[in-house]
Amino acid sequence: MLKFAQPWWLLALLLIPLIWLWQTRWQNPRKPRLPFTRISLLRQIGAQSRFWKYLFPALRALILLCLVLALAQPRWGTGTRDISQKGVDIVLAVDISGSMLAMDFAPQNRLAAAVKVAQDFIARRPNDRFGLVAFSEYALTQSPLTFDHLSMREQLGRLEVNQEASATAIGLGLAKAVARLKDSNAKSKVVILITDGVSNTGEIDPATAARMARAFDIKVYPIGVGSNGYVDFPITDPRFGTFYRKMFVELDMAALNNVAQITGTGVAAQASDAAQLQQIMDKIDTLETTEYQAKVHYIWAEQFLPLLWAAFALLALELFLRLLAMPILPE
Amino acid sequence: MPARTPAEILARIERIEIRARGIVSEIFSGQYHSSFKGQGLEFAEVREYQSGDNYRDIDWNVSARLGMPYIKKYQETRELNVFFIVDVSASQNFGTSRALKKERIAEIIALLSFSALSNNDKVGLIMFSDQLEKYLPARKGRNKALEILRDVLYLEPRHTGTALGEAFTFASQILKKHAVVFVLSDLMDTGYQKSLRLLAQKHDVIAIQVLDEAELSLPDAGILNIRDPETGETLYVNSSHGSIRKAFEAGVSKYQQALAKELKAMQVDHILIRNRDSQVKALRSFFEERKKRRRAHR
Repeated sequence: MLKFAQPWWLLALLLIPLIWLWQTRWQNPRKPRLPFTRISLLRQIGAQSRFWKYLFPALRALILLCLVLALAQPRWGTGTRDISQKGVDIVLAVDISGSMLAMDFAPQNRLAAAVKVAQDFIARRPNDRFGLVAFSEYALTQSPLTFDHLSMREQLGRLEVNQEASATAIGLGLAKAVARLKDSNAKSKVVILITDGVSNTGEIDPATAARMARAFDIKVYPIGVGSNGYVDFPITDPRFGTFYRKMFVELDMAALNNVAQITGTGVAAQASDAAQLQQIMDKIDTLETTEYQAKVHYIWAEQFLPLLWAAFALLALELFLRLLAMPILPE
Repeated sequence: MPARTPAEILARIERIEIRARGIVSEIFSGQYHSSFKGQGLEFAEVREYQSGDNYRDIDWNVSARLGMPYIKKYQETRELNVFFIVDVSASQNFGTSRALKKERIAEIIALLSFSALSNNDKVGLIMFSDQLEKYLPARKGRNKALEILRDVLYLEPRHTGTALGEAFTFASQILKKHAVVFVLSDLMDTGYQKSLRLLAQKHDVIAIQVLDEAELSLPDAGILNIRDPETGETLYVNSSHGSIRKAFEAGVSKYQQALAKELKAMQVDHILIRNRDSQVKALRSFFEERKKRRRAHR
C-alpha cells in the first residue's frame, strides 16, 4: 500500500503549473534575448522550435515534481495484524474414520469435501484463531490454535482417512477439541464438529464431552455429513484394485442434536452433499460474526530515495544540456 | 551603445570626422563630385594663361587691357541638396561582426557629408522610425555635418518600428528643389514602394542598404533564443540545423533579388553594404559605376 507520510507537501504540486507559466509566459519579457531582425523570415521557413522553448521548463517541472513527491515521503506499507486483537477461537474437529471414504459427495469423498469447505471457511475468517483435531478411534490434535491460517489449511489438506479404524470416538474428538479451547481467553470459543458416524467407542461419550464444552463456555456446531443408508464405498483389494461397493452407513443425528442442545447451538446440521455442507458453514460463519477494530501495523519502506535520485539525474541532465551539450544562447 | 558623456561623444565624432576627411580628401571627393551633376556653369575667376590651357577660354577683353593672355575659368554650379533619410528603427541597433549597423551608417554618412561639404553642397537629415524622429533642413558647413553625425550616432529614437513609406512621403513634401537623397536603411519593411517611387521621380534617390552578416546568413551558434527588436516577437531556433540555415539563406537571397528588381524599376540606385565590408570601397565602386552610366547616357 502506497501512502504519503506528509501528504500536505503534495499541495506544493500546485507550484509546478505556476513555475511552468512563469518560465514560459511571465518571465518572457524579462529574459535576455539576442536581438534578431529577420524573425518573420524564420517564421516563414518554420524554423521556430517548440522543443527548445519547452525543454528546460519541462525538465524543471519534472525535477520539482520529483522533489515534491519525495518531500511528501511516499512509502510502501506492509501490513501486519495486531496479534493481541482476537476474534473467535475455532477448533475444527474432523472425523477421519473409515466411513469418511464414502463417495456420496462425489466426485470427492466425504473427508475431501469437508476439508475443502473448511479451508474456505478459514480463508473467510482472517481474524480468528483456528485449531484442528482429527479423530477416529482416538483423537489427535493436528494443530493447536493459531493465526497461521496458511499452515492450518495445509494441515487440513494433509488429513487422511484412518483406514484401520473401525470405530468412531466422537466424544473423544470433542473432548480433545474442548481441551484445546479451555485455556483460551477469546471472547467466543467454538468447536465445529464434522462427523459421519455413530459414536461407538471411546472413554467419553458425546453428551459428556458436550457438557464439558458447556462448562468452559464453548459452543459446538455439530455437522453430520452423509445420511443413513447404503452408499458407495471404496474397497481396496490386493487382487482386484479399488472398487466400490454399497455399504450401510449409520449416522446418529440424535446424538449430534443432543450435543448441539447441550452447548446451546440449537440443532445439529446435516449435509448430504457438498452444497449443503457449504451452506452450513456459511451459516456458522454468519452466526459467529466478530466485531473487532482492524488494528493493522504497517512496516514502512520509505520510497523517497528513488525520487531524489531521479531529481538529481534530471538536474544533472539539465545542467549538462544547458552548459555543455546544447546551450541556449543567451540564457 | 557605449557610455556617452559629452566628451566621449565629441571624441567619437571627431574620430569619425578625421577618418572621413582623410578618405574624402584623397580621392573620394572627386568621385563623389563627378557622379552628381550640378545645375549649370558659372563664372569662377580670371587667371593668367598657362601653357596647356585651351585657347578658346582666353578672355580677350581682359588680355587686351592687361597686355597678357588671361583665361576665364568656369565652375559647375553645384549647390546640391543632399539629404540623408536614416532609418533609426530598433533593427539598426544590431550587429554581429564589427559594429552595429547604426555605427556603420554613421560612418557612411560621415563620408558622404564631408564629401558634400568639400563640394559646397548642403546636407540635411531626416531620421525616421515609424514616425519622424528628427529633421534637419539642408545647410552648409562643417558644424552642420557634425550635428548630423551626432544625431545619427546618439539620438535615441522614441519608437522602435519601421515605416519607410511615411519617411518617403515626408521627404517628398519637404524637398521642393531637386535633391540627392541617400536612404540608409536595412530596407526590411513593406508598403513603402509607392511613396518611394514618387520620391524617385523628383529626386535622385540612392538606397544604401546596410545589412549585418547575420541578416544574410544565419550564424551557426546552436540554440538561440531571439527577439525581434521592432515587434518584440520571440522565438527559439536551432541555428545549427542545416536545412534551416539553407532555407534562411534562400529566403534572404530571394528577398534581396526582389528588392533589387523593384528598386531598379523605380530608378533608385541600390548599394548593399555588408557590415563586414569596407563602405569606402563599396561607395567608390558605386560612384565609378554611376559615372560610367552618366557618360554612356550623355
